[in-house]
Amino acid sequence: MAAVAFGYHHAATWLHGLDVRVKLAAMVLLSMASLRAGGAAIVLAISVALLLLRHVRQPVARWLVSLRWYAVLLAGIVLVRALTTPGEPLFGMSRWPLSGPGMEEGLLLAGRLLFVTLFGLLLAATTRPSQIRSAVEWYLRPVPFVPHRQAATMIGLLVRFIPVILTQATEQGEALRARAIDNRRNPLRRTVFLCMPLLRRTFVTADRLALAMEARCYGSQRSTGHPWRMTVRDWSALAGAGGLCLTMLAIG
Amino acid sequence: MDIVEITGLTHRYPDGHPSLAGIDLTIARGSFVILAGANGAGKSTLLKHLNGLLLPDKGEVRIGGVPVRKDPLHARRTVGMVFQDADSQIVGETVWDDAAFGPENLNWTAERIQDSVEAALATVGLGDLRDRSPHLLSGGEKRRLAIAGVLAMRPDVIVLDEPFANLDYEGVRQVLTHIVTLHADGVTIIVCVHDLEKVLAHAQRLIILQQGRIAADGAPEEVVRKAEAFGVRMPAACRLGGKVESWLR
Ligand SMILES: Nc1ncnc2c1ncn2[C@@H]1O[C@H](COP(=O)(O)OP(=O)(O)OP(=O)(O)O)[C@@H](O)[C@H]1O
Ligand SMILES: [Mg+2]
Repeated sequence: MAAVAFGYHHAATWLHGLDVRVKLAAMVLLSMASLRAGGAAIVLAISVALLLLRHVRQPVARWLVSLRWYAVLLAGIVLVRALTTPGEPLFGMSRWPLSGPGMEEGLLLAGRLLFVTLFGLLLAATTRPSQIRSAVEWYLRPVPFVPHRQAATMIGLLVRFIPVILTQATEQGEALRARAIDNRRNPLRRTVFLCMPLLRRTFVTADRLALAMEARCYGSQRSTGHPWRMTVRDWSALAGAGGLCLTMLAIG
Repeated sequence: MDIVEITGLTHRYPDGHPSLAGIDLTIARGSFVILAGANGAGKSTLLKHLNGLLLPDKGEVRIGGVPVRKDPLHARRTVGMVFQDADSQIVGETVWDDAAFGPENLNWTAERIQDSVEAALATVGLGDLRDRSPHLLSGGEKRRLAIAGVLAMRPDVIVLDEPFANLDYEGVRQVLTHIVTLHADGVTIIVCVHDLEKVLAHAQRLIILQQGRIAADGAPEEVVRKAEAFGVRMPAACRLGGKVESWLR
């Protein structure tokens, strides 16, 4: 179950106990700041993210292994940038001129993506999806014409469904391979064989889930989640995140 | 006092497939009933009528005297349902959240939810797994969680569709223990199975469905003798003229 590597891991750390609204706000603020940040700021931000990761005692080694394809993608971005951006080539004369400014730009872009990913994983690992859902609900409440309750439940169900679909896809793939799907040459046929049953199964599962929810009286009149309370710790964390954003913008 | 009253229930699926034909049935409060029948006999379809997930084309279903069609929410509060497929009824991200889903829907206060969920998880022995992801539980634990999710809503009737499917000997014994305990506490139990062996010793009544009709209904010792004619296997002990022994012994 590869999908589970990134989910919520219960532990009693400082970050786990933080108000979810603060975590979400910090996530949004820092992501925006990273868009404008330069190299030094990104290095600072990634270091902070790694420090926090150490602090919450997550299975970092397992994450890194699961992230290896992502690393390949990031390397690809750097390479493409370096090859396509005009400018002074890095190494004297070569058939593939890697331009200096392109390299720099690519690294910056990859750094931003890496930072946002690390922060997202941090948020996901230390926060129950149900809490994220309540926080989203809280933020949506003042927005007119948005049924915040339903919107929040939809987000929650979506989050719940992703690992289920991934697990089903793996099972489906194994069942097909057991019946020698690999002998088929045509990749299109192979994809159809995988996708059609998967889609149908997903719909059937969704249908059953809807029925089970209905049997347990699901409706718009639900008990509200836990009461919101901002403590000194939450405010200082928010201030800390804001400070980090400003620093990132200042050092450019 | 009959908590379930069904008169002339006929149902057809939207694709035209007939599933139930003229069911008349009453179930007394506090009883332990087995609903048996071959695959496709209509057991699951009948159960879904008890809490308004399906509505009759003809006839009427009343729960505690209230027609289901008029007040489906009342029926759902009174009749808790544990589905055939434990996986697809998981809603929460953790064991605790999942058990709390029903009570939250009933708009209970936080303390009441807390008490009820704690009690339900303790009853099925999942108190220690409260923070685990339900998807990582074993088959037996998932089934027990599904039961806890229903128990937390404090229903008067609990309906279980194939509660022993995919369970090992120990799993069957655990789930069966919970069912028997609940019955002793006064909950009305309706269990739907196609293999009688595991529950027969505890039931007070056995109903056999065949092709959407009630084919036999009565005391388990008597009805079980006719079971094979309706596609339900007679437990070996009965065939030899004896009684089925409880799996809890
Ligand atoms: N959604 C549906 N649409 C059309 N027909 C259906 C649907 N669900 C069930 N049926 C049909 O209705 C009949 C009764 O099905 P039901 O699921 O109630 O049987 P069952 O007694 O629970 O069987 P099993 O022991 O296999 O669970 C079957 O013939 C089945 O093919
Ligand atoms: Mg069934």
